[in-house]
Order: sequence, then C-alpha cells, then structure tokens
Amino acid sequence: MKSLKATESKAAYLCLLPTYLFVAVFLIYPTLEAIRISFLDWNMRDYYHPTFVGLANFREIFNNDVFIESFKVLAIFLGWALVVLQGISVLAGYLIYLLGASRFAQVIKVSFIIPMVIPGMVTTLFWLFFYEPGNGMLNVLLGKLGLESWQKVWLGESQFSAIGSLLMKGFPWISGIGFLIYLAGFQSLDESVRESARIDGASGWKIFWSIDLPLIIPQLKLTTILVLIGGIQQYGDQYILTKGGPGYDTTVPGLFLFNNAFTYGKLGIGSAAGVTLFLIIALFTVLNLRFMKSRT
Amino acid sequence: MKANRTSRIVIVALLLFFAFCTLFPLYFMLVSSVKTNAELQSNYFGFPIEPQFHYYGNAMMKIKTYMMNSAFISALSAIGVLILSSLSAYAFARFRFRGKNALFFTLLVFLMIPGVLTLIPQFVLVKNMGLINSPWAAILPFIASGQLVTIFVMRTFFEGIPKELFESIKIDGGSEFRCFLSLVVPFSLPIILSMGLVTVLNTWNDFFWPLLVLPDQQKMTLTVGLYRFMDQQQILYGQVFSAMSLASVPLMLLFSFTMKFFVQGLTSGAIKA
Repeated sequence: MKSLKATESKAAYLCLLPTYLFVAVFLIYPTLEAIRISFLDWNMRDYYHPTFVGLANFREIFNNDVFIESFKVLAIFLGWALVVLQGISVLAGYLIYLLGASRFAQVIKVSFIIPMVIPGMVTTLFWLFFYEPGNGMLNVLLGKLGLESWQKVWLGESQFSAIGSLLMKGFPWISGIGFLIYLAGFQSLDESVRESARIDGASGWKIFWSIDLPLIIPQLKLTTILVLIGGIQQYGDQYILTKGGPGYDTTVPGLFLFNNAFTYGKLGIGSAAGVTLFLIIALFTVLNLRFMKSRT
Repeated sequence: MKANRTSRIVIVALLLFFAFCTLFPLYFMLVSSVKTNAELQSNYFGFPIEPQFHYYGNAMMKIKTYMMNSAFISALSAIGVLILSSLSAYAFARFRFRGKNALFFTLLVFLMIPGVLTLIPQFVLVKNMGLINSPWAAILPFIASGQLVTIFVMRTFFEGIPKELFESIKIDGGSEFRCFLSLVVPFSLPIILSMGLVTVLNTWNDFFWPLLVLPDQQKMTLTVGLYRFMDQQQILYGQVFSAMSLASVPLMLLFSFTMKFFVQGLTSGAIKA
C-alpha cells in the first residue's frame, strides 16, 4: 500500500513539474527581479552596467509630477469603468432578460457577442479613425449635420476632449462577457418570487432594485475587483490613441512605466513604478477579500 | 408577459440602438474597405459604387506574414497551455500527495502576480536568453501565465468525472495514462476546447508583449503589424480597412464553429480576465 502511495506521489510530481518549471522561470523569477531592478540605476543604453541606488528610483517617481498626475487620470478611467461600463452591461443583461426567450433577444445577444471575436487592435484602430481630424467619422458626421464649429482635433486639443474621447471609445461597451454573466444571474431566480412581488403591487423599478439587483451582487463583486485589477494596469488605448498626450494629459501609470522602460530605456524607474502598482493592486485585492468575507 | 407593452417598446428600442452602435463599426469597416479615398469623401456611409476588391489582395500581401506568425504563436501557446494544465489539473484532481493543498494554493498566489510587475524583468529575461525576434519569446511566457486559470477550470471539471469510471479502467488493467487518454480527455473535450480557444483569443489579441519582443518586420504578429500599418499615415483608407477586415477573419471563422464552447469557457475563465 505504501509503495502504491509513493508511486502515486511520484506520478503527481512528475505531472506538476512542467507547470512549476514554467512558473518558476517566467513568473517567480521575474517577480523577484522586478523588486531587484527597482533598486538599480539601469539604462538600456548602458545595459551591462547597472548600479545599486537604493530607494532613489522610488524617490524620483514620487517627486515626478507626471507620475503623480497619472493617478488622477487613472482614477477617472477606473471610476468610469466601474460605474458606466459595468452599469451598461448590467442594463443590457437586464433588458435582454426582460424580453424573455425570444428570437429577437437571441439576435441581440449574438450582436453583442460578435465584437468579442474582433481583434482588440482592429476595434481600437477603428476608433482612432473615428476621431481622426480630417476624414474621421465624428468630424465628418458633425460636418454633415452642419455643426462645423463643433469639429475638433478630438484626441489632441485639450485634456478634457482627449480624456472624453478615450472614455467614449467603444460605445456602447457591451461587447464583453459582463452582460452574459449578469444575464445568467438574472435568469437564475425563480420567476415565482418576482410574480408574488408584482401581485403585492411592486413597480418594475422596485422589483429591479430590491429583487433583481441584489441577485447579481456576487457577480458584481467579482467583476468589480477584476475591473479594478485590470484597469490599474491598462494603457493600451492611451498608447495607441493619444500616446498619453496632449502633453502628459492622458498618461496613466501603466503608460508611464512602459514609456520609461522601453522608450527612454530607464529599466529601474520603470520597475519602481511596476512595484508601486503591484502594491496598490495587492492592497485592493486584500481589501476586497476582507470585504467579501465580512459580507458573507 | 414580463413587461407591459410600452416598456417593451422602450426596451426593444434601447437594445436596437445598442446593437446598432455595436455593429455599425463593422459595417463601416467592410464598406469602406473597397472604397477609394475619393469615394470615401463623396459617399461616406453608403454602399460602395465601384468596389475596389483588389485592395484586399494588396492588404493580404502586406499582412500575410504577420498572420502566419500570429497563427503559429497562438496555436503553439494553446497546445502548450492545454498539455501543461491538463497534466497538472489531472494530478490535483486524481492523486493524493504530500503538499497538495499548499501547491494548489501557491498557484492561486501566482495567478495574482500582475503583468505590470513582470513586464520589465520578463523582457530582460527573454533578451538575455537571446530570444528576441524568436516566436518562443512570445510562446513561452504565454504558456506560463495562460496555464494557471486553465488548471483551475480543468481541475474542477476533472473532479466531476465519476470515480467508478476510473475504477473500471483500472480493473481492466489500464494504466493512469490510459485513464487520462481514454476517459478524461474525451469526457472533458468541451472544456479543453474552450480553454484552448480562450488562449488563442488572448494571444492573438496581445499587443505590447509582441511589440517588445518581436520587432522585426518578418517576425511581427498581426496586432503589431496592423498598428504599424496604420501608423505609416497610410493614405489609402480602403487598404487599411481591408487589412483590418482580413485580420478579423481567422478568429471569426474559428469562433463561428465553436461559439458555444467559447462562451462557456469565457464565463468560467472570467475568474482570471
């Protein structure tokens, strides 16, 4: 019996070996390296001569206005993603649910799923074109409506228009898995509960707030933390649409990191920003776990 | 039924509006992909009058290499992820061994390592390994991070397979490997397929990592190639839109056959995202 157990263990470790080998090389080692590099003055142009500088990189980024300001910009994007993007997915899920099982509901559902399989780059490039000053769709549309005075260099004129344009990118933003998750949540409730509420004279609005919305709180909690963790690290739209500009007006921390490390070659500064972001993400994760525990 | 007539009209109108806004970019991309610049000016939203189908040929010439590179990277990443994670998931689901819970817990911790933290050291690592401009620079890290969620999903699935089925194979003198191949794999084919698709989708869409590690024109992936294509201030909009449409075709094809698995896998993979 004992030998059987030994062979079982051996087989198990053998199965796990490749996974942990990959994890060790490409996740654990880089994590430790990230911390080490954040203490180095290390430039891509002088790749073979990094020097230890202690906390100097952290001192530098916390005294850097661009880095500090980037968190304010990030807060706008995070708030938007949490409230508007999540809200509209809940709305879409709920509306489809209200329609019940019909052919029309099915068609609508599919039309929200299709964009998911369009490469993100294609979508983003479409929006780059949408905002383009000369032939872009937005300015052309305004021109056709006789609103020439409203035309702008949307992504470059002011911080307000650049951030606004980035926020509106992807409208109506339903092409995610969010609405499918919420839809499944709404559908999970026994119809009789709603029926009895309706008989008691509750309005549709009341039923939504007091019966349906609480139903998807677990899903909302999960998507909230995912949106936070993902959102803190996001800089793709900024990189492609505005390059963080005009000036540094749309620079988020992730873009600050990327530009420092790979445009200016300052690996130490970039890593210090990475470690900082990691600590913030870890804080959110821990808070979230606490919060979830206290509520359940 | 669930809603009275007026609110039903509002709901339908709202959903139609959302669906229109969602699909309109696709329509626009397709009709514009065969318009000359002059026609785009004069006939901005309408159907093309003199469709320039040769734009597709030209665009294909330009992005063919990128597409092959992306296909190679996505396919090998998906295969790697599936092999590694099905092995590990099998071990966690089937075997008893020392440190099982601790090992499983560490995987959960690794899952939480954010990409922004590892981006720079991973780049340094890949550079020092001499892998810049090799597809493996993309494939290996994709496998390392892609396998984690897949292990979680697969383990849950494997544990749901009735024990008796394993027993019956064992009684017939079948090995563990036999159990894996002729019981577990066929039984969980839908989930394996869907996790493979999720991996393909993620790797196909990734932009920054291939931008960094595959800068060579011949090694570039599709997302990076498209970005560069647009970046050159291309004057021919039609050709740009042709390239964008073409870039969407492979995934569209792949997913039109497998939508059911895909949605299933995405919802279960939502734990990572």
